[in-house]
Amino acid sequence: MEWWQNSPCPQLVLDADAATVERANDTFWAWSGLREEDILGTSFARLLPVGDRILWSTHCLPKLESSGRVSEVSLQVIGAGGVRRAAFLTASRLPAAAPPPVPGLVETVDGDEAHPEAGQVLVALFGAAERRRYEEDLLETTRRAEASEARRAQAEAGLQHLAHHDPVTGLLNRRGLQVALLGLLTGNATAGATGHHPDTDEVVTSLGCPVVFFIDLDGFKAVNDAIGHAGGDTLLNTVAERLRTSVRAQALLARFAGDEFVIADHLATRDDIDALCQRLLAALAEPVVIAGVEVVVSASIGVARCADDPTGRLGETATRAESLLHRADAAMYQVKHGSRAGGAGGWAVHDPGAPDPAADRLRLLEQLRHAVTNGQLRLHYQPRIDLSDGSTSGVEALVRWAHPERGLLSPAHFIEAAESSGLIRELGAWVIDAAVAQTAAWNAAGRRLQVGVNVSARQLSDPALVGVVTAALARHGVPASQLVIEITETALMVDPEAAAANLQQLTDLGTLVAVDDFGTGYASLTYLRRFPVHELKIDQSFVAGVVVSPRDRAIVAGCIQLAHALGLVSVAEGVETSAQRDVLIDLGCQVVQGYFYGRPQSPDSLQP
Amino acid sequence: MTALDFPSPMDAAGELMHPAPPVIPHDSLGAGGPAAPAQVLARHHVTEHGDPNGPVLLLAHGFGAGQGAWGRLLPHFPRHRIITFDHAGSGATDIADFDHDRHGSLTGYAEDVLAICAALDLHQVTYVGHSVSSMIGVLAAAAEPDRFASLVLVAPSARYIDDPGSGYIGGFSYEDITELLTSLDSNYYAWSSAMAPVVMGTPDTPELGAELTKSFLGTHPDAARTFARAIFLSDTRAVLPRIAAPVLVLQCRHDALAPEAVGQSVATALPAGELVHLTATGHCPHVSAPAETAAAIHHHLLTRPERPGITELTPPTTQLPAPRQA
Repeated sequence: MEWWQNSPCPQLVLDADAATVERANDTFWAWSGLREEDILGTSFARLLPVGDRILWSTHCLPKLESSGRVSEVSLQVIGAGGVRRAAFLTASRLPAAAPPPVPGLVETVDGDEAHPEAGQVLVALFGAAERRRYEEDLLETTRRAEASEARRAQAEAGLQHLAHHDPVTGLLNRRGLQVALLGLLTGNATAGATGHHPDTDEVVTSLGCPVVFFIDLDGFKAVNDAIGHAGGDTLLNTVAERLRTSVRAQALLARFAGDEFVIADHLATRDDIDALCQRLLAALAEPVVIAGVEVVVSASIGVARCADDPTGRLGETATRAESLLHRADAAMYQVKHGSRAGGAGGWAVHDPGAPDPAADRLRLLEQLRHAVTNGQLRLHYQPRIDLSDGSTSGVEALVRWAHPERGLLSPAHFIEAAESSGLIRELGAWVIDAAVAQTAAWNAAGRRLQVGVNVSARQLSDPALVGVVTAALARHGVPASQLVIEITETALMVDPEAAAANLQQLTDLGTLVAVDDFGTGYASLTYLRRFPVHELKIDQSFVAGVVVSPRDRAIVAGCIQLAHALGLVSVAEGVETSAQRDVLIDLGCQVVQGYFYGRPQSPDSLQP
Repeated sequence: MTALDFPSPMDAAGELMHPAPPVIPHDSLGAGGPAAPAQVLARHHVTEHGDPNGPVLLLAHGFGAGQGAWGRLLPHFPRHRIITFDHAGSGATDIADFDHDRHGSLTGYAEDVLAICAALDLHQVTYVGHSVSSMIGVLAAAAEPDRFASLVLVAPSARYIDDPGSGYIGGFSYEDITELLTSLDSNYYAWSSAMAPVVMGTPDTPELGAELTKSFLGTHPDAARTFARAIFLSDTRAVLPRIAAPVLVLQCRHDALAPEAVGQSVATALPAGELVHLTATGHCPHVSAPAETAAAIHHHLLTRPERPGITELTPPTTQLPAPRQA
């Protein structure tokens, strides 16, 4: 019937097996571009792309078989020229006893006998091009989102790796070590930043109880200075590689700081520990040739066993990890600076019963950091007397720490720790600022004094030093010429390049430079030419003997003459008696300071 | 060189290259090492039906389905211990357990089947595999011949792609397969939505548990792509002659995926193969004609020959899968 032929939907009739195409309406021929002779009597599945053919065979047919109908299956039909047309397919089986649902099918247009039979399958298609495009867009968007998510995850993993590894050696860095060590302590290997695989045997005996080795290269800095940073990196890589080959595959290996490495592994016995230490030292002792230079590295190793942990195995994991590192560091420190002859090389296992200088030092530093920011530091000032007229021409600022428990501490108690930790920068900056502020106060009160401030080796090589001084002078409106930067010979020689640069800039600014403790440091006097120096402060150990020891007197005389020959001011420290004063006057010394004239004292009590 | 070392039919097709049909090393349970039995059973949602003391029927569903596809067949075997499961990436399995390497070839699925057998300590198994699971069963039986009493292959094909060189007709051309692998992606939504509705309305089988219905969620589209690739690039013809167990091959009429000639060639290549033509049409007789399918299986169970000299059959000695090329 015509209306079936011209139905808005392309339609087909399949045989009772839903396999063969028996008829199709005009709408289908027009829609698909196919001709009757192309497909009548052939397989319907062949009109579908392979994927849809599978869909049809595995899903539509069984469903049609069992329920008599499938609805709105999204698929494609291959039309003329292989063009695919997206469509929704709905199909139903004509019920056996029912009259044909499409009356037009009974009387065919051209009178052939293609009567629809009960059991035949009627297929209706609904064009779905729009829907298909929409789905394709959606899919593409989904895929893009997945891809970008995957890239993000990858980037994140990369960042994580970067954050946990040392770029020079590829070993874990400090942070990576901390994470991995936590994993090791909890027996949870996946928490580690490396592929640590605990072996089942080990787990039984020592799960969560590793041994930590703290390895410090001896004299690395000198090597680094001698062969340059690139050479230093090569050396570090060589060391890292040797450590790697000395330990078991599952051990944690980290570069903790500059020349400090850490190994953590499950080792059961003291013999195992000693064997590993021997292996490590032997591996490191092999000379390394860098840029044609043979370098010999030695190391000090400190060992801490989890089993010795004073906090016990019940302690919080993070605390236990910290304690392990800390105790291994302490043991290393003991080896390096301890009683051993030669001072370096070898290993020690941390004894939890032994006093812990490293722990004390850490505690001290923590308190000192607190002290700097919380106003526990004081400056005391020791007068300097100009022997030409007996007047107080200046003072030396000396830092004191008003420790809440231990009372007023002199620099001997804390400066070395501050210097070695870098805390000296903040402390030094505070001292400079406070001294300049006091100078300004005296200026305002009409007392014009030169103020000497001690600057440490670390400060002296710190590029920030000039800025600190400039800022302090500017802030308090003090002329640079009132400030005397006091440095030791030793400090000058630590990083001569940086020191020279700093001192030159400070001198350009107008500040004066004094060499402190003169005569006790390097014998070479070349630095007196190299650095811009204005004063020599002769060490008090010579001054102390100047009356009784002809030798000391000769040294002091030599220093004074040297100073004058170079156009420098001669200053004698530690003057305690009038006899010493008299000798110094005889020798032509220009400035003196010491208990004879006045102890270091608070600015208020400083007598004019 | 063994019988397995024949040229891959896909060599000419560039990226479609695929290893020769893999045969599982006898002692291997997969690249990840043997998983714990409980883990295997959970991963595949292994489900038991029927009489726990009955003879074992292990039913393996085909592509694009899950174990729920067996729902209409189950009531026909009340006196058997029936075990159904979901292949990785199919049914209700966790897509995270789908390993695109392991499950990129039929060997991976066969390893899974053997892992399930081992986990349940199954012996004298009658394995019923639909469609692709036919060849998965063949690979499993080649690896552990003693495990299986017989195989029933429902609508099997040992190779889907025509092989003009040998005159073999698989029913699909290279172009078809290339096209398929593309269309599986572009037809993502059709697949996703079409998989679910296939769950049989089974008013006649109320015993079909809710969990089974739930598990008939079909295949994860991403896994489907890998699975399809594994299926359509596989060629298991060379393994067939090594299967000593009796094998029933069920062939439907008008199967658009496994034409009659294909079923015929499978049965012929099997030393103890028997081809039975069903009147059922299409590719899924266990769904569309469960009674007829069940009757054929029952007949096979009653009449299958004793396996002569089963213990004399030693596992093949050269069994290393060809190296992966793609």
